[in-house]
Amino acid sequence: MYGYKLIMTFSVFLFLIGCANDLTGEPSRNQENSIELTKISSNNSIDQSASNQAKEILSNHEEITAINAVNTLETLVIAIDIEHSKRFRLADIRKELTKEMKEQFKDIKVEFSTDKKILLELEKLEEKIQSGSIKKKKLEKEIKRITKLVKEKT
Amino acid sequence: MIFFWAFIIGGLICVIGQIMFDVFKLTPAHTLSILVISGAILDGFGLYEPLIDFAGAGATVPITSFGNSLVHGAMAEAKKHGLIGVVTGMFEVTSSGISAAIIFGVIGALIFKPKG
Amino acid sequence: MADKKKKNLPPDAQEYQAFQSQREVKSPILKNCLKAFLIGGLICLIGQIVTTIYIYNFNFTEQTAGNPTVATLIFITMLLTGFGVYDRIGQFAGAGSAVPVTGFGNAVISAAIEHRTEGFILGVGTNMLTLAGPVIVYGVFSSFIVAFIKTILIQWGGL
Repeated sequence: MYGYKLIMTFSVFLFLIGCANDLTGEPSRNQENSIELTKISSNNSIDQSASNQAKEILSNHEEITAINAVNTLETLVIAIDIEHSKRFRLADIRKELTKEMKEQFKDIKVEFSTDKKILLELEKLEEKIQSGSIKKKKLEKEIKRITKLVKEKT
Repeated sequence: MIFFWAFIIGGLICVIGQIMFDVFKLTPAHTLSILVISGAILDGFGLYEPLIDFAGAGATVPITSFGNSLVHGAMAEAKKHGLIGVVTGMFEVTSSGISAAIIFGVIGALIFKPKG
Repeated sequence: MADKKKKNLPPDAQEYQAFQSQREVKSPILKNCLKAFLIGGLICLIGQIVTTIYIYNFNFTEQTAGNPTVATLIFITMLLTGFGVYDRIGQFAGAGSAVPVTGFGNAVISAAIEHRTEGFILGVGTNMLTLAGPVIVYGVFSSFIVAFIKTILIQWGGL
């Protein structure tokens, strides 16, 4: 009876591992040789040149697998995702890149995050900007909300 | 990937607990206390947060994360208010486990019947 | 029992018996560790799924999703404990069910349910924190020591 339970549990475990790799779908740098990012077109009414520039600079880093960034005139919010094997050094990487970004964009407030939630929120925001379905005022509100999320500790 | 590592690291921490049960013949109370203290010490050396970044729930679900949270709360408060923060800040970042256990304990006592 | 058999067997077989009984003691520990690994890992995996649900569907970040995850897991534990299921998991998995926060929850909740007959103040209230007590006491105290030492080192060493 115990043997049966053991086998069952082990099979569930194997099944979940198999599914997990499919579900997360993180593009591995080695396979695709590209990072998940979209540059917002420059003829869009809301200027995203700072964000695009940030994405350019960050895509030179080997370990980054995804970048999302949105900016207003005063604030630039960037979120990245890195290879899972590098996650032990996540805090250090975050510190380094925050410093780098703050030096690059000295005249604008930079918020840098490695959090999955921020990545998701910025992705949604980017899509809205790209499709033109968001106004400047709403964008500023959203950026404020996301900035607050970045700062939350509990 | 994080699901895989959550499973592995969580399992490994439980194996450590099992070794304490079987090889060192410790009671659950002893084992859990040692694990919480270990979590606190690991966070003192800055080793527990990277584990959480890598293994997600594999490091936040075992009881060791309780020690980690307490040290975090204490350090955060100490940063703001100096040494006294070590005493006052401990439960600022976490109380979720204890609160939930107590609340659901009382609710459980209200709705469930004791067995045998 | 093996000793009685030993006397009637040729020396080779006796040697093998001794060898066999030496090996036998180890396997319960290995088996227990495997069971603890599987169940403990599974509970943490479920925790990761819950965390991911909170991040994707609610307004929680990776940092803040830990709290509702623990609360949800303990809620599930209440149901499992109330219906007697968690005890059976515990018999199978040993530390695999005691080490995760669900084990903590189970200890508190099962003590609360068990001592209800003694009244809420003296029964439930007094006995609920029997296992949780040392965990909280030494968790807080060790964290105090660690944070104290670290703060002193930071202030003196100018880290």
